[in-house]
Amino acid sequence: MDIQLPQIIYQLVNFGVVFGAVTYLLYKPVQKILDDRAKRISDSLSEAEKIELEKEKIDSLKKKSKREADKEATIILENAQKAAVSKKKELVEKTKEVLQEDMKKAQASWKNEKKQLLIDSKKQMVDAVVEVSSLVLGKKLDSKTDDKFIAQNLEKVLKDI
Amino acid sequence: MKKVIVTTANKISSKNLETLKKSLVKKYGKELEYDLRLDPSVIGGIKIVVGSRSIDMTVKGQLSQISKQVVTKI
Repeated sequence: MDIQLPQIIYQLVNFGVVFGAVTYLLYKPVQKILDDRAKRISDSLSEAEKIELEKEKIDSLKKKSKREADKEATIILENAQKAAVSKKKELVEKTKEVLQEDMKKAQASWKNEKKQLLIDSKKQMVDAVVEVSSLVLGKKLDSKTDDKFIAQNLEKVLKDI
Repeated sequence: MKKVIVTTANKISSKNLETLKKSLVKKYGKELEYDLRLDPSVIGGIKIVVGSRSIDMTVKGQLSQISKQVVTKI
């Protein structure tokens, strides 16, 4: 096998021409495609980072909102409990007052009834005494005694009339 | 003429009636009309009404007055 120099030169020139043509015709578009792709990837990554950041922000906001909502709910619950306790206390006090008032009224009414009963009993007793006295005096007071009684009282009667 | 109502349980004696009339004439003059009433329920004593004035010295009246006083003090 002989080394043919012209053949080699031809091959080299041929290679050079092909290389030059390929470089001229393909390198730039491929480079551009690669650059575009790299840019797209970079943009996508950047966008993904942005989205990630946004997501973290939203998550943080959500957590914050939840915390605030929980806090607010706790405050509302506490206030409601306080109001309920206060209302319960107020109702108990009111009920106590009403019961005490009723008890006082009942006691007063009972005392009055007792007093009235006592007065009625005494009146009945007086009436009975008067009734008995009338019967006894009616039997004992004859015409003569009555005349004496009138004579004794006549002076006073005539003085007052 | 003034009306005098005299209420007793038994018939009033003439002596007591005379004393009564004399006193009333002195106080009210002679123009008096007497109405003598018998009411056994007064038990004894005498009740006299002259016009609008009245005095009750009957046993019933006295008992009633005592009863009223006792009841008032209860």
